[in-house]
Amino acid sequence: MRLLIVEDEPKTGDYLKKGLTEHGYAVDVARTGPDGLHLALESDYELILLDVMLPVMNGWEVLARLREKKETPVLFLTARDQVDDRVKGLELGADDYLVKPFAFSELLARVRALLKRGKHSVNETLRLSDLEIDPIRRRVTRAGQRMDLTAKEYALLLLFLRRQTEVLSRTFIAEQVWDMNFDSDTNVVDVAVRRLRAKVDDPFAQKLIHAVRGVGYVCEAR
Amino acid sequence: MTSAAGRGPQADARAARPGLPWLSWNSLTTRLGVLFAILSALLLAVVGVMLCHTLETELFTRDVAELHAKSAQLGDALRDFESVHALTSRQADFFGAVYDAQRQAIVVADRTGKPIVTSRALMVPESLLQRFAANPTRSAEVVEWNEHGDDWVAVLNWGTLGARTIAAMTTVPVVLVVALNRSSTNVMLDQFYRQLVVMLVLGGLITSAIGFGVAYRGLRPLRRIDATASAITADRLDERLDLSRAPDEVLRLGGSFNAMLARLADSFRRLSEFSSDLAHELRTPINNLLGATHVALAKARPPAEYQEVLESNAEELERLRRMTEDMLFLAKADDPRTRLDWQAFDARDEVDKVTEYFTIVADEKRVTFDVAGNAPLRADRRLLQRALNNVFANAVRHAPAGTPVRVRVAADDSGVAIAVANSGAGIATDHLPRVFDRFYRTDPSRPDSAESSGLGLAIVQSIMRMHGGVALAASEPGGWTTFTLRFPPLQPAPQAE
Repeated sequence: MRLLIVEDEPKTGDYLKKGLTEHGYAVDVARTGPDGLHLALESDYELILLDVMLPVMNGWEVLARLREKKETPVLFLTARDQVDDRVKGLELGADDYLVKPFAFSELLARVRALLKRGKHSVNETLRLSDLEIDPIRRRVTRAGQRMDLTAKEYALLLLFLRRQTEVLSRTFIAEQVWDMNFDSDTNVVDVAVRRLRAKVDDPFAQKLIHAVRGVGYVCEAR
Repeated sequence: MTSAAGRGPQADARAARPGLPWLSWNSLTTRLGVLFAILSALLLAVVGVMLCHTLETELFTRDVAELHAKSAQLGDALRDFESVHALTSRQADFFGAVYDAQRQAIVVADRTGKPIVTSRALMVPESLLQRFAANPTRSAEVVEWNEHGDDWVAVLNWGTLGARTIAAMTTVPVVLVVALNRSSTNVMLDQFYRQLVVMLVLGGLITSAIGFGVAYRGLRPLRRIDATASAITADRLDERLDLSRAPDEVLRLGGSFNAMLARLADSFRRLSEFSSDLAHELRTPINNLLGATHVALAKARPPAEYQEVLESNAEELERLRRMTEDMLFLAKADDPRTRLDWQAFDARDEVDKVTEYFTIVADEKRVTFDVAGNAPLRADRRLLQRALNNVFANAVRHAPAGTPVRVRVAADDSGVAIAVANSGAGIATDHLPRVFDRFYRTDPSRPDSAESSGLGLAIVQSIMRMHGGVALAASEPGGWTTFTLRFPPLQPAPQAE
């Protein structure tokens, strides 16, 4: 999976490259608009992360010129959370956007969503270790034992299994499970995850849902 | 930021004005002064013209009356002369009694208009004489003419020679012309006119000067406003206009100006408090980050310790991120260009959704929800959700264990109201008006920052303002504390795209 990051801020570019490389992507970084456009046109990337505020040629122009020739998915990064910016980006053909400052886990989730787009089957049975979810029958079993979950606990677990090995931020979980599209001043997610763990993990020796301090939660077999 | 940007053009406009602002046409003083001058000049001119006309008419009437009198006198004298011959031979007698050689002239002509005797080398235009003589029924006709630059006026009358002498067998009708040279009168009038013009011009100048003076004096309160306004800077916003001696017109302007200053001072105070609060709020997490990082870097440590530091830093940074996100939201809410995504729905739907979201935390605290009511609403769903979220979080946080949080949705003539109430200690009366201020905390010693950014209720108020509504707080000590989101009855129509 080859990704291109077009970002002029050196530290941002560096940590994005490092983080994405560690998650198994091959990452190139361009520091200016023209360099980024050149790379994007010369080689084939699966996804381009494009900063809007770039020297010489801004992100909008890079995106417009790229779209003349190629349909590579573009996730644009903007420091200004203005509706106009989002609309402009999406009109120019961007596939998604993120407003700075963003959590790295958030970025990773969106990158994966864009790369998987259209390849994901909603109804296939999900498995992690001895945990199994059958989305069609809404059945959850662990080690063959049926689990009795509330609707929100089920939705939360489904999200964890679909995004296994991804670190999910609290904001992302609140958005996906409760449709709360903003940071909330509460620990609802923490309480909900704790209750889910009490049912899914506590009776078993192998823990599947783990807290990542300062970031969020991850579901994986360790 | 806005005020700094606005200062530039204003200063430019000021610099572009001439040194004496009241001499430009844009100055009220100039306009009033010029208007006053024009009016007084017009008035003086009209008075002058009327004065001249009256004087001229009066003088003429007097002259003519004098001529009539003289004509009657001479007509009487004519009767003493029995014939034309007698008149010509004794003309000195005839002229002598009444003759003012300087100004007057007398002509006696026969019935054909041919002069018999004349007092001096005066030629009454023959056409005039003949025209009069042609009609014997005429009398006392006033004629005017100009001869060698002299203006003459004359009274023509029929007279009779010899009517009084017994010796005369017949009477002879003659034309008697008594004329007056009016040149001296006209010279006098001309002089008068010239003096009048000089006086008018002088009078006009003096009245204009007075006009300017009065206008300048009258507009002094405005210049005082100007002086005060120029003296106002960010650190002197408590300056106010002294309106004790201001006239009514300026009183209102000054009143508005003072009210504006009061509002500005208040906004400015809030803004500067916000900045200092903000700096303070940022200082704590930055201090933690810096300290923890420096301590960690001071010596080599096992990886677990580094991880510990990084995790702690991540928490602090997450706090910072949320704070900036909240502040960006507030800044955006203040921007009048921000558009809302208006949708019509039942307010209860969103209330239920948020209630469900909070049920889990409420359970932990053994706090229950008691929700009732419905109300059709037009609002931005996401924003309402966010506002409700902050109000619910607040209520659940402060509700004592085992008590309910009461939520009421209602619509009436004054609009839609969503009230969220919790029991507990309540909020002291003096804190109530400020609970929606940014970073305002009822208990400053307990920042509570792990849970709250201190911006939650400020965001609620911003969201309500964006909807044209208001957020209200009420509290009975030891009783219910209620936060009410009040939407106006007529929801603004969605913006046409």
